[in-house]
Amino acid sequence: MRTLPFSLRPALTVLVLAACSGSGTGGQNAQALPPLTVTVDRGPEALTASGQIAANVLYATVTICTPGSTTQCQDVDHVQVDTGSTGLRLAHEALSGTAVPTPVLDPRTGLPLFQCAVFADGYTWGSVVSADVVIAGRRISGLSVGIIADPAAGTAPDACSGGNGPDEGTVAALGANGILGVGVFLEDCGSFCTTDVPSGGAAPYYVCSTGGSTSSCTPTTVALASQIANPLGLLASDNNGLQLRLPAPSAPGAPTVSGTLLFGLGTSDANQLGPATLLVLNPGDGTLTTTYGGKSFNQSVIDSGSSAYFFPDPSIPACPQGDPGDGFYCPTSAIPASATLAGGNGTQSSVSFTIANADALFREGSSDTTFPDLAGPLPGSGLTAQTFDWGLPFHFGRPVSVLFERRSLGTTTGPAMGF
Amino acid sequence: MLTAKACERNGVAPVRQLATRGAALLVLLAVLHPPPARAGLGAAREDLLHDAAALQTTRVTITSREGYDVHEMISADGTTVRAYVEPGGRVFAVTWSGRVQPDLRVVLGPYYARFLEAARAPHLGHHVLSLNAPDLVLSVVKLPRGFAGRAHLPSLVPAGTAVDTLR
Repeated sequence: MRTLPFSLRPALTVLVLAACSGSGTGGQNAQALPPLTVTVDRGPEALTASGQIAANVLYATVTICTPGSTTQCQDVDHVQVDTGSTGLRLAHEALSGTAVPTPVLDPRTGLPLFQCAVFADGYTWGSVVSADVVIAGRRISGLSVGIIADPAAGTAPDACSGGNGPDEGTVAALGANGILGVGVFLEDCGSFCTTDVPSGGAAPYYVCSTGGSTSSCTPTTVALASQIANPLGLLASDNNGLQLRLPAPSAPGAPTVSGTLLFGLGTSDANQLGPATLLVLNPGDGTLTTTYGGKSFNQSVIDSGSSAYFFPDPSIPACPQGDPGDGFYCPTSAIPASATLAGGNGTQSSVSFTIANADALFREGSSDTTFPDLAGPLPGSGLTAQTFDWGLPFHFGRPVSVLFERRSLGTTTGPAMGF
Repeated sequence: MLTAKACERNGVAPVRQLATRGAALLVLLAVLHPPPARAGLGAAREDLLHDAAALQTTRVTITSREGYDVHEMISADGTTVRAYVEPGGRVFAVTWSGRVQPDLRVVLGPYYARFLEAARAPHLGHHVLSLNAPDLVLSVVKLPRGFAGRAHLPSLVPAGTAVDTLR
């Protein structure tokens, strides 16, 4: 998020959650259903009310319903569309209570499952629930969803909250009313969590027993079917992947941009791969290899959930500390750049992009939310594993295809991405 | 936990004493005080034992490179933390990678507070966090599945060692 210039701060407004009109559909008529509209804009009401505006965050509206109900539903706007994570997580703060999901229980103890989700800049703690979710008219019944900062989950255990940075469990901290993780993985943890718990750090899943005023939480294994899951992998059809199509906003920035997320990959005339090459990703962590500036970055990601191109290049000056563009690159003039991305299957694709001066972008476009040439450093990335993060700017004007793990298109089996 | 927090605030001082005064004092301090709960970046080589225990490490490998030593600590789930030790015996860089993020209070030691500060400051997104200060360079990456991070103290990097060639 960026801090909003004072003159642009809106007066405090009452957050009114949209009442649901029962938008669920029972039947599946795949060809007739529209794609999901996705938008880059200022962000949810609770974010702008806190004096911040989003930048390069892709949002969509999803509907959450009481299991089996088409009337007890709530449309949740400004859920971030994230190809860099897996599963739907909604902030409790953004929920009206109209939809009443069911707790997902640990079969051994009968206790409700809770989740610790760790990000680069903090963590969230919340409950795991089963809900019916409707995305662009397509209903996924009994989806495991995370409810971030659900009071029912109590206080996070120290292993979650202690060593992972600050609590991100508010809309203002998340910059969104939730996160719709539609990356290459079908479950957020996968087979590891069905048999093992991590030996240290934060486990993804916990059960907590309450004794008196204290609560004791223990990491637990979770079957694949109960894990927080990629909703698009559970659609009745068009469930092998997705294609994200965003127009190219004019440089340096735009107030808003809208595009579409198409369900499935190569499953209809609308979602064909086209001239793109599928790059098979590392099945362990979902990464690929980037070659840039003569260096190899073997833990790179294509990620709609990142707001910029992030990579280390000491030859490009970073914006001065305290400037509007602090944390991004500030070349004296925009720099044309290129790189090659390679998958594990021996395929590769090259890409051209532009690195703009972030101070200039944010000063000239103080009310813009869409910056196609925003890039920032990832310092120290020369140590061991190396990351080049192809964030949302990469997706502008360039259709990006995602093939889920364990799903295929032609002879290629995911996880894979193409552009 | 309150005890651990107090240790964090005071963590820098015992680390420096240990680095300069040797093994006898180490034993004495270990008797008089509990071992520092957080050593990590900037700590003395001796404190890596505490880190290895705190990180539930099951395997430690020490490799000598030209100009520095690498202490690699691997836990049962494969999470790997590497501490790079300069000839004077202090940890000048750390990296981590794996399925889960190791406890950054342990890995970053007294610099955990700086990570917290950077994470609380306005920034864009949740998959990348970086800090590029004169005394501390840090980046944390949340991968689609797993984590990777690294940090180093520019003032402690041995002369003739380029951080981007560390192995």
